[in-house]
Amino acid sequence: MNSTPVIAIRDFTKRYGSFDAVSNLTLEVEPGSICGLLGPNGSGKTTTFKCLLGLARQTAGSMDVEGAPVGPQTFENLSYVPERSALYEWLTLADHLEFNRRSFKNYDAKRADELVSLFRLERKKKVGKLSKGQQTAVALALAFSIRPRILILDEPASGLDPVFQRVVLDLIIEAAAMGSTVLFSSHQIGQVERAADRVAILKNGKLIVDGTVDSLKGSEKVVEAIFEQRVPDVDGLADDPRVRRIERSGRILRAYVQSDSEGIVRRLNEFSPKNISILDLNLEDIFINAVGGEIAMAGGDGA
Amino acid sequence: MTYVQFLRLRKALTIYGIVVGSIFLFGLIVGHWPNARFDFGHGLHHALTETSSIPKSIPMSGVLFLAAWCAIIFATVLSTSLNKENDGVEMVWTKPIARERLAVQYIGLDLSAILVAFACPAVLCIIAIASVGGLEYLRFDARTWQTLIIGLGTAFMWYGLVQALTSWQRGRGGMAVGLSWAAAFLVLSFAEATHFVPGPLHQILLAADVLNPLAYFSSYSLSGYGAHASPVLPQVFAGTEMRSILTWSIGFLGCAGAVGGWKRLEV
Amino acid sequence: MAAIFTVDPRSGVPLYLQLIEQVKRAVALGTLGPGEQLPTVKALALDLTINPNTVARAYRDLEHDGVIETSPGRGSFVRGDGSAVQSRRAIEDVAQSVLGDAVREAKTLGLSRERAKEVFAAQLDRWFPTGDKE
Repeated sequence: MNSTPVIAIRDFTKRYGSFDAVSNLTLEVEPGSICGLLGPNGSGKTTTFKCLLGLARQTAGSMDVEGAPVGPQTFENLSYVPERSALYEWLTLADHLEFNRRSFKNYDAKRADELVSLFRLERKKKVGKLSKGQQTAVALALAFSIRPRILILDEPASGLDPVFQRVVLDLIIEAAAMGSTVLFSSHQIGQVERAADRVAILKNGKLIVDGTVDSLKGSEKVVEAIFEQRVPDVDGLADDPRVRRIERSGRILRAYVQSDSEGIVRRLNEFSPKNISILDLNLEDIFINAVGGEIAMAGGDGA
Repeated sequence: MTYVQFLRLRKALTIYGIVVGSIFLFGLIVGHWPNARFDFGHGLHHALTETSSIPKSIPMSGVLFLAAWCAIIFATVLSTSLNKENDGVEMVWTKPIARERLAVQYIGLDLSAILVAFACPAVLCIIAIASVGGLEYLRFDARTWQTLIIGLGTAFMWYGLVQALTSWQRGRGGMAVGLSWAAAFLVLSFAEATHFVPGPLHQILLAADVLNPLAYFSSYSLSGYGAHASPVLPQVFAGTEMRSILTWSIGFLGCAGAVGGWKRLEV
Repeated sequence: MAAIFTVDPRSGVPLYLQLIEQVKRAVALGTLGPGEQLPTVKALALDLTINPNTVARAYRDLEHDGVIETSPGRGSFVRGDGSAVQSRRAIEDVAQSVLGDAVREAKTLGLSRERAKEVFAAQLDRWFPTGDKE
């Protein structure tokens, strides 16, 4: 499909002093897609969201939403749930909903009622008196009450119990099924694995993995070879661009492969292993390999 | 889009109303205590009408002077309205409205509330004066309008300056207001103490007073009542008209700077 | 429609492949008969709590494989024409994939080619006794 991306981040860099919070990030999210942004704390997820929404200024690069830099009109159809609560603690949920009603043309009172009961929220209680999870639920109810075309959610399930976490996933999936575009970050890889069709992994402000969840699962594999005696020296295997990293223990060689696992199998077969097999990886494995793997590879970073 | 600011101002004005109203009532009762009986209502009315000390002429400027002080205090309380949004500014910055426009609307609402805060004690005073039959002695003159303009100008100037200092910061709003009061009094006091402060330092203080709202208001009141040339502002700024224009201009510049600073804030 | 498919998002097998296999299996076993309607993309995505585009991709591939047909505005249906052929093909797809996994697993466990053949023959004798030829 050659539809214009709803979110287009190109060569985005954000520098604080001499520290690059994000460097050269390029990421596009297609309409109707759910993109999950993963990464350790401090990897630049929140910074990316803030610059995308104009809450902070990028040092370099362009960030467009629906084909233009974010402006007031963008927010008619965009909801953002920040990582840290931005609610008014001295106001009630009812006050917040009234604020939304007055601010957005698309505010849907019936939808708001559904959301309030879905999250079992009290309208008349001051937000400051609510637990962190309930505050998250309030922010989500506000975000979905305008039936936004674009949703940007920074850790949308933090502080929620598993039941409500599933409710959030359902809301995201429903929105996408109706054509909305979602960009969300999460520490819970299982959520991204379920809801997202697209995943991007950031580490130290750099994009290290980007693709659909299914294509990553199709290409990210472990090739495990067991040898008769000891693991042979396979020349340059660690530097092979298809290989993320290798692990040797005793007579076992494991190559964490990011593409063309069959090719790696053929290459290892030249050393006549006793047994060789390709193991599937789930998203958590892929995440750990990508994020933890870079440390392992840092020494031989010549390419 | 200004719904939250509207709620905030309604709350502030309610508290203000209660405080001003109570002080006023308290003042009335205490002022007439020897004649007051304990049964309120009739007793109070009786006490007020029995008072024989009604002056033959009550200057309206005095009433407005009192009202201006109340408005100035209230204005400094409101002067951190943009700063208050900054902790969680994502909420208003992700609404479909331009930041400058929202900020200008906030300031407009604040100024309306300051006007109400000015009118409230003035009206209370007039009611009190009327209740003792003193309405006919109320004297309006040029000074009435001067007090109105420079009193509100001072409130606006103070408001604008604190806005400019705080709109682009997160937190520290309350501290800025407190410090502004302390600084205003200190600079003013030292500027007035011509005999103790050495010449060069005094010149610096005089210069600093150009940005001190209190200097404009107090020098005005001093020159009015004490009838001596005020030492707290440089001579260039002598004249009530000049000073009125300055308070309003500085207030306006402060607000403009505050809007610009707020818009450029990064969170 | 009740959940007729189950998928495991935490598995390393791409979700759309899991879903394709589930649908083929249902068609093969007759759980889904010819002409029967499948859940909409949205309904199935919500039912399984998985991404709608993933479901849509599985449906596209199933249509391409001739297992289902989709008419715009009406939904997706198990193909009626030549459904016997499609079902057989679907069964074989599933069976081949299961057998493939079994053989691979046997190899991983260290069975030699010859030994694997023996084991396979024994299993054939067990499940297809002599004379029970198709």
